[in-house]
Amino acid sequence: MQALTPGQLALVLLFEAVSGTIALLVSHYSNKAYRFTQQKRLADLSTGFLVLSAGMYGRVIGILYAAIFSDIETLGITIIATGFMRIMAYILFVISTRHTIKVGPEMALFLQVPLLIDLNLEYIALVILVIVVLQSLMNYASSRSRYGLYVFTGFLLLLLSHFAAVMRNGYLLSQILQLLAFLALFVMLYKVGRE
Amino acid sequence: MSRKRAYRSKMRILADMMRCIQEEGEEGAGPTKILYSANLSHDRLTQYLDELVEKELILLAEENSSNKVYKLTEKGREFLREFVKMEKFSEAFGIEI
Repeated sequence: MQALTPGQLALVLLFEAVSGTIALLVSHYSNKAYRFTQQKRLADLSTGFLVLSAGMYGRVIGILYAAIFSDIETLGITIIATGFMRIMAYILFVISTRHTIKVGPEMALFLQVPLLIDLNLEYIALVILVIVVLQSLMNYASSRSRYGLYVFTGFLLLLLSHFAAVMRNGYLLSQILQLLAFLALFVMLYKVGRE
Repeated sequence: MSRKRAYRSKMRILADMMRCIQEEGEEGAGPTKILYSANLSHDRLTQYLDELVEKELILLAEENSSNKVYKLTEKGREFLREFVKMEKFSEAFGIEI
Protein backbone atom coordinates (compact mmCIF):
# COMPACT_ATOMS: atom_id res chain seq x y z
CA MET A 1 0.00 0.00 0.00
CA GLN A 2 1.48 3.33 -1.05
CA ALA A 3 1.72 5.89 1.72
CA LEU A 4 2.31 9.60 1.54
CA THR A 5 4.38 11.57 3.99
CA PRO A 6 2.72 14.71 5.39
CA GLY A 7 5.04 16.73 3.15
CA GLN A 8 3.90 14.82 0.09
CA LEU A 9 0.28 15.20 1.12
CA ALA A 10 0.77 18.96 1.47
CA LEU A 11 2.29 19.01 -2.01
CA VAL A 12 -0.63 17.02 -3.40
CA LEU A 13 -3.09 19.45 -1.84
CA LEU A 14 -1.13 22.40 -3.19
CA PHE A 15 -1.14 20.92 -6.69
CA GLU A 16 -4.86 20.25 -6.40
CA ALA A 17 -5.54 23.82 -5.25
CA VAL A 18 -3.47 25.30 -8.10
CA SER A 19 -5.22 23.06 -10.63
CA GLY A 20 -8.59 24.05 -9.17
CA THR A 21 -7.70 27.73 -9.52
CA ILE A 22 -6.73 27.28 -13.16
CA ALA A 23 -9.95 25.33 -13.78
CA LEU A 24 -11.83 28.28 -12.25
CA LEU A 25 -10.03 30.69 -14.58
CA VAL A 26 -10.92 28.57 -17.63
CA SER A 27 -14.52 28.45 -16.41
CA HIS A 28 -14.59 32.22 -16.05
CA TYR A 29 -13.17 32.75 -19.52
CA SER A 30 -15.60 30.23 -21.04
CA ASN A 31 -18.47 32.04 -19.37
CA LYS A 32 -17.19 35.35 -20.69
CA ALA A 33 -17.01 33.86 -24.18
CA TYR A 34 -20.54 32.48 -23.75
CA ARG A 35 -21.93 35.88 -22.77
CA PHE A 36 -20.18 37.40 -25.75
CA THR A 37 -21.21 34.84 -28.35
CA GLN A 38 -24.31 33.15 -26.86
CA GLN A 39 -22.83 29.79 -27.96
CA LYS A 40 -24.44 27.30 -25.56
CA ARG A 41 -21.59 24.81 -25.76
CA LEU A 42 -19.34 27.43 -24.15
CA ALA A 43 -21.80 27.57 -21.23
CA ASP A 44 -21.52 23.76 -20.90
CA LEU A 45 -17.73 24.04 -20.99
CA SER A 46 -17.82 26.76 -18.34
CA THR A 47 -20.09 24.64 -16.10
CA GLY A 48 -17.79 21.65 -16.60
CA PHE A 49 -14.70 23.55 -15.45
CA LEU A 50 -16.67 25.14 -12.59
CA VAL A 51 -17.81 21.71 -11.34
CA LEU A 52 -14.26 20.37 -11.74
CA SER A 53 -12.85 23.33 -9.83
CA ALA A 54 -15.46 23.01 -7.05
CA GLY A 55 -14.60 19.29 -6.81
CA MET A 56 -10.90 20.07 -6.49
CA TYR A 57 -11.41 22.69 -3.81
CA GLY A 58 -13.87 20.36 -2.06
CA ARG A 59 -11.23 17.65 -2.13
CA VAL A 60 -8.59 19.94 -0.63
CA ILE A 61 -10.94 21.15 2.12
CA GLY A 62 -12.32 17.65 2.78
CA ILE A 63 -8.88 16.03 3.02
CA LEU A 64 -7.57 18.83 5.23
CA TYR A 65 -10.60 18.60 7.50
CA ALA A 66 -10.35 14.84 7.69
CA ALA A 67 -6.61 15.03 8.38
CA ILE A 68 -7.00 17.61 11.15
CA PHE A 69 -9.92 15.89 12.86
CA SER A 70 -8.87 12.33 11.98
CA ASP A 71 -12.26 11.81 10.41
CA ILE A 72 -12.13 8.83 8.05
CA GLU A 73 -15.85 9.00 7.33
CA THR A 74 -15.60 12.58 6.05
CA LEU A 75 -12.64 11.57 3.91
CA GLY A 76 -14.63 8.75 2.35
CA ILE A 77 -17.59 11.02 1.59
CA THR A 78 -15.27 13.69 0.17
CA ILE A 79 -13.54 11.25 -2.17
CA ILE A 80 -16.82 9.80 -3.46
CA ALA A 81 -18.53 13.19 -3.82
CA THR A 82 -15.61 14.86 -5.57
CA GLY A 83 -15.12 11.78 -7.72
CA PHE A 84 -18.71 12.14 -8.93
CA MET A 85 -18.19 15.86 -9.52
CA ARG A 86 -15.17 15.06 -11.64
CA ILE A 87 -17.16 12.59 -13.70
CA MET A 88 -19.97 15.13 -14.15
CA ALA A 89 -17.39 17.66 -15.34
CA TYR A 90 -15.91 15.20 -17.83
CA ILE A 91 -19.37 14.36 -19.15
CA LEU A 92 -19.90 18.09 -19.70
CA PHE A 93 -16.57 18.20 -21.55
CA VAL A 94 -17.72 15.34 -23.77
CA ILE A 95 -20.88 17.29 -24.52
CA SER A 96 -19.26 20.66 -25.00
CA THR A 97 -16.19 19.58 -26.99
CA ARG A 98 -17.94 17.01 -29.16
CA HIS A 99 -15.68 16.62 -31.51
CA THR A 100 9.49 14.48 9.02
CA ILE A 101 6.90 14.45 11.44
CA LYS A 102 6.21 11.21 13.05
CA VAL A 103 2.99 9.99 11.78
CA GLY A 104 0.47 8.81 14.34
CA PRO A 105 -1.71 5.76 13.70
CA GLU A 106 -4.81 7.79 12.78
CA MET A 107 -2.80 10.02 10.53
CA ALA A 108 -1.05 7.09 8.93
CA LEU A 109 -4.44 5.70 8.00
CA PHE A 110 -5.23 8.96 6.31
CA LEU A 111 -2.16 9.03 4.23
CA GLN A 112 -2.79 5.69 2.63
CA VAL A 113 -3.39 6.43 -1.01
CA PRO A 114 -6.26 3.95 -1.50
CA LEU A 115 -8.25 6.20 0.81
CA LEU A 116 -7.61 9.15 -1.45
CA ILE A 117 -8.96 7.57 -4.58
CA ASP A 118 -12.00 5.53 -5.45
CA LEU A 119 -10.96 3.03 -8.09
CA ASN A 120 -14.45 2.56 -9.55
CA LEU A 121 -14.86 6.29 -10.09
CA GLU A 122 -11.35 6.50 -11.50
CA TYR A 123 -12.18 3.87 -14.11
CA ILE A 124 -15.38 5.67 -15.09
CA ALA A 125 -13.47 8.96 -15.33
CA LEU A 126 -10.86 7.20 -17.48
CA VAL A 127 -13.41 5.97 -19.99
CA ILE A 128 -15.08 9.38 -20.28
CA LEU A 129 -11.75 11.16 -20.57
CA VAL A 130 -10.68 8.88 -23.41
CA ILE A 131 -13.65 10.27 -25.36
CA VAL A 132 -12.73 13.85 -24.43
CA VAL A 133 -9.11 13.29 -25.51
CA LEU A 134 -10.16 11.74 -28.82
CA GLN A 135 -12.50 14.64 -29.49
CA SER A 136 -9.79 17.20 -28.72
CA LEU A 137 -7.36 15.27 -30.96
CA MET A 138 -9.85 15.32 -33.84
CA ASN A 139 -10.41 18.99 -33.26
CA TYR A 140 -6.68 19.69 -33.33
CA ALA A 141 -6.22 17.53 -36.44
CA SER A 142 -8.85 19.54 -38.29
CA SER A 143 -8.04 23.02 -37.03
CA ARG A 144 -4.24 22.73 -36.61
CA SER A 145 -4.58 25.55 -34.13
CA ARG A 146 -1.80 25.84 -31.53
CA TYR A 147 -4.48 26.61 -28.97
CA GLY A 148 -6.17 23.34 -29.93
CA LEU A 149 -2.82 21.63 -29.31
CA TYR A 150 -2.68 23.09 -25.78
CA VAL A 151 -6.21 21.82 -25.08
CA PHE A 152 -5.38 18.37 -26.47
CA THR A 153 -2.16 18.29 -24.38
CA GLY A 154 -4.13 19.36 -21.30
CA PHE A 155 -6.79 16.67 -21.67
CA LEU A 156 -4.16 14.03 -22.57
CA LEU A 157 -2.17 14.84 -19.42
CA LEU A 158 -5.41 14.71 -17.41
CA LEU A 159 -6.10 11.26 -18.86
CA LEU A 160 -2.55 10.14 -18.04
CA SER A 161 -3.02 11.44 -14.49
CA HIS A 162 -5.99 9.09 -14.06
CA PHE A 163 -3.94 6.19 -15.47
CA ALA A 164 -1.20 7.03 -12.97
CA ALA A 165 -3.77 7.21 -10.15
CA VAL A 166 -4.85 3.61 -10.68
CA MET A 167 -1.27 2.43 -11.00
CA ARG A 168 0.64 1.10 -8.03
CA ASN A 169 2.62 3.93 -6.38
CA GLY A 170 1.39 6.36 -8.98
CA TYR A 171 -0.66 8.75 -6.87
CA LEU A 172 1.93 11.50 -6.53
CA LEU A 173 2.73 11.22 -10.23
CA SER A 174 -0.97 11.54 -11.03
CA GLN A 175 -1.15 14.81 -9.11
CA ILE A 176 1.89 16.16 -10.95
CA LEU A 177 0.38 15.17 -14.30
CA GLN A 178 -2.91 16.79 -13.32
CA LEU A 179 -1.10 20.01 -12.44
CA LEU A 180 0.75 19.94 -15.77
CA ALA A 181 -2.60 19.40 -17.55
CA PHE A 182 -4.03 22.54 -16.00
CA LEU A 183 -0.83 24.46 -16.64
CA ALA A 184 -1.20 23.60 -20.34
CA LEU A 185 -4.71 25.05 -20.23
CA PHE A 186 -3.42 28.08 -18.35
CA VAL A 187 -0.78 28.73 -21.02
CA MET A 188 -3.49 28.50 -23.67
CA LEU A 189 -5.64 30.97 -21.75
CA TYR A 190 -2.70 33.33 -21.28
CA LYS A 191 -1.76 33.26 -24.96
CA VAL A 192 -5.34 33.78 -26.12
CA GLY A 193 -5.56 36.76 -23.79
CA ARG A 194 -2.49 38.28 -25.41
CA GLU A 195 -3.81 37.69 -28.92
CA MET B 1 -8.75 19.75 -44.26
CA SER B 2 -11.47 22.33 -44.68
CA ARG B 3 -14.61 22.20 -42.61
CA LYS B 4 -17.91 23.00 -44.22
CA ARG B 5 -19.78 25.58 -42.17
CA ALA B 6 -23.45 24.69 -42.27
CA TYR B 7 -24.63 27.49 -40.05
CA ARG B 8 -23.18 30.85 -39.24
CA SER B 9 -24.27 32.51 -36.05
CA LYS B 10 -25.42 36.11 -36.20
CA MET B 11 -22.35 37.04 -34.18
CA ARG B 12 -20.09 35.51 -36.81
CA ILE B 13 -21.93 37.23 -39.66
CA LEU B 14 -21.54 40.60 -37.94
CA ALA B 15 -17.86 39.86 -37.32
CA ASP B 16 -17.38 38.85 -40.98
CA MET B 17 -18.95 42.12 -42.11
CA MET B 18 -16.75 44.12 -39.75
CA ARG B 19 -13.64 42.23 -40.84
CA CYS B 20 -14.42 43.13 -44.43
CA ILE B 21 -14.70 46.80 -43.46
CA GLN B 22 -11.47 46.59 -41.46
CA GLU B 23 -9.60 45.06 -44.38
CA GLU B 24 -10.46 48.10 -46.47
CA GLY B 25 -8.63 50.27 -43.94
CA GLU B 26 -9.12 54.02 -43.81
CA GLU B 27 -11.00 54.07 -47.09
CA GLY B 28 -13.85 52.06 -45.68
CA ALA B 29 -16.04 49.53 -47.54
CA GLY B 30 -19.12 49.95 -49.65
CA PRO B 31 -22.26 47.79 -49.27
CA THR B 32 -21.51 45.69 -52.37
CA LYS B 33 -18.07 44.79 -51.11
CA ILE B 34 -19.50 43.84 -47.70
CA LEU B 35 -22.33 41.89 -49.31
CA TYR B 36 -19.99 39.70 -51.34
CA SER B 37 -17.42 39.36 -48.63
CA ALA B 38 -19.92 38.34 -45.95
CA ASN B 39 -22.01 36.32 -48.41
CA LEU B 40 -25.36 37.85 -47.53
CA SER B 41 -28.64 38.69 -49.23
CA HIS B 42 -29.35 42.35 -49.79
CA ASP B 43 -32.14 42.45 -47.20
CA ARG B 44 -30.01 40.83 -44.54
CA LEU B 45 -27.12 43.13 -45.36
CA THR B 46 -29.25 46.23 -44.90
CA GLN B 47 -30.68 44.90 -41.65
CA TYR B 48 -27.27 44.05 -40.19
CA LEU B 49 -25.62 47.27 -41.39
CA ASP B 50 -28.36 49.27 -39.67
CA GLU B 51 -27.81 47.23 -36.53
CA LEU B 52 -24.03 47.78 -36.59
CA VAL B 53 -24.49 51.53 -37.11
CA GLU B 54 -27.06 51.66 -34.32
CA LYS B 55 -24.65 49.90 -31.97
CA GLU B 56 -21.90 52.33 -33.04
CA LEU B 57 -19.64 49.53 -34.21
CA ILE B 58 -19.42 51.04 -37.69
CA LEU B 59 -20.31 54.44 -39.07
CA LEU B 60 -21.58 55.67 -42.37
CA ALA B 61 -18.65 57.84 -43.45
CA GLU B 62 -19.78 59.05 -46.84
CA GLU B 63 -23.12 59.16 -48.41
CA ASN B 64 -24.09 60.68 -51.70
CA SER B 65 -26.59 59.64 -54.31
CA SER B 66 -24.62 56.63 -55.50
CA ASN B 67 -22.08 55.88 -52.83
CA LYS B 68 -22.19 54.68 -49.26
CA VAL B 69 -18.99 53.94 -47.38
CA TYR B 70 -18.83 52.29 -43.98
CA LYS B 71 -15.90 52.58 -41.59
CA LEU B 72 -15.07 50.79 -38.39
CA THR B 73 -15.36 52.78 -35.17
CA GLU B 74 -12.97 52.37 -32.20
CA LYS B 75 -15.75 50.43 -30.46
CA GLY B 76 -15.96 48.21 -33.54
CA ARG B 77 -12.21 47.59 -33.53
CA GLU B 78 -12.39 46.65 -29.84
CA PHE B 79 -15.31 44.32 -30.57
CA LEU B 80 -13.33 42.59 -33.33
CA ARG B 81 -10.27 42.17 -31.08
CA GLU B 82 -12.45 40.59 -28.42
CA PHE B 83 -14.19 38.42 -30.99
CA VAL B 84 -10.85 37.07 -32.28
CA LYS B 85 -9.86 36.09 -28.70
CA MET B 86 -13.18 34.33 -28.11
CA GLU B 87 -12.95 32.65 -31.49
CA LYS B 88 -9.45 31.28 -30.81
CA PHE B 89 -10.45 30.12 -27.34
CA SER B 90 -13.61 28.41 -28.58
CA GLU B 91 -11.89 26.74 -31.51
CA ALA B 92 -9.22 25.37 -29.16
CA PHE B 93 -12.03 23.31 -27.60
CA GLY B 94 -13.59 22.48 -30.96
CA ILE B 95 -16.45 24.92 -30.53
CA GLU B 96 -17.44 27.07 -33.46
CA ILE B 97 -19.02 30.41 -32.80
